[in-house]
Amino acid sequence: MKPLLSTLKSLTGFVTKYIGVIIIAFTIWACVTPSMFSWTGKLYVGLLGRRHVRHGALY
Amino acid sequence: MFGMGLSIRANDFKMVLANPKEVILGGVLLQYTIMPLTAYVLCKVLNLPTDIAIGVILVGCCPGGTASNVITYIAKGDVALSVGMTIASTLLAPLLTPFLIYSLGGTWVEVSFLAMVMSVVKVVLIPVLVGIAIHHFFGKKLEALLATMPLVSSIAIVMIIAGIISVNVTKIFTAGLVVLAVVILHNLIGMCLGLTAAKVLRVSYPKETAITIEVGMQNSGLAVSLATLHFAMNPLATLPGAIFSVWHNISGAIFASIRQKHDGTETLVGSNVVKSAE
Repeated sequence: MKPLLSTLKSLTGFVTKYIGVIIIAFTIWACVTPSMFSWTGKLYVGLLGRRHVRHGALY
Repeated sequence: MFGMGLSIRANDFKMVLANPKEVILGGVLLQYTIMPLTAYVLCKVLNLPTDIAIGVILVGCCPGGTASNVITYIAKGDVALSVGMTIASTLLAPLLTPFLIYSLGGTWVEVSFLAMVMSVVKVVLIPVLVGIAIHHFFGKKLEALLATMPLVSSIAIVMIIAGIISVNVTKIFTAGLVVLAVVILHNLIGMCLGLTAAKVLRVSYPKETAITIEVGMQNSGLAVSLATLHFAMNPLATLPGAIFSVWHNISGAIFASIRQKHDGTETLVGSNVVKSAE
């Protein structure tokens, strides 16, 4: 358990330090291959009480 | 928001009570005046289309983002003050955010105040309060796990942004440049006015840094949520929030790299005062 938590803590430090770069990288990735991430939008809106959202309109 | 709640400790509330002047001025007054009014003026001056104007107003009326705490830390600013201001603006968001959107956004579209209050309570207040409660009652047992919560929050933010971008790629390529320009202007004007206000208040250098970052960085995820839930008829309204969430991390990181080079400053981390080595 301890090695796993230690690894997670290191990963947390890395991710929080480079969050800007990571966001930009994923933004570009999402622009290039939208189908890869479209499911996250549905999940996110689903959690907020809507089933599907595309281009701001409810389906 | 749940991750933010988990990271809040009793000492953070003590900080709010110990420095009410800075927290109220920076976290509430400056936060809820500079960014909303800048958004409104930009929309009017640039004569933005309704969809984009609503999105910009939403970003301006949101509380300070939790990323501001990390950026303040990197900038060697007053982290405790930053956390205090984020808590104050977030806890007041269920009332102030819908009120400002209703007052400023009502120029363009009809805004349902009560429905928006409920959304902010659902998206912000409940997750934060549940997080605080879990940390309070099970904090010691979950201490090791809580240290990894920023990772979970970061993954969630990245996935939310990627999800929003992926379903809005067409819109980004058609209206993206206009929105990007407005977002950059909004953020930079907000940070400049925040820094000016902090200098007028004659607070210390680390506090100046914290106030500037707090004013400039917004909870743009909330703006995207509200745009999605309440302005479905205005499809471009989600775009400013999505682009802001990327941009404010870039501008914040640049600002932090400039501020952290300041010589002989005091840096506050929690209750510890540390003299900068640089």
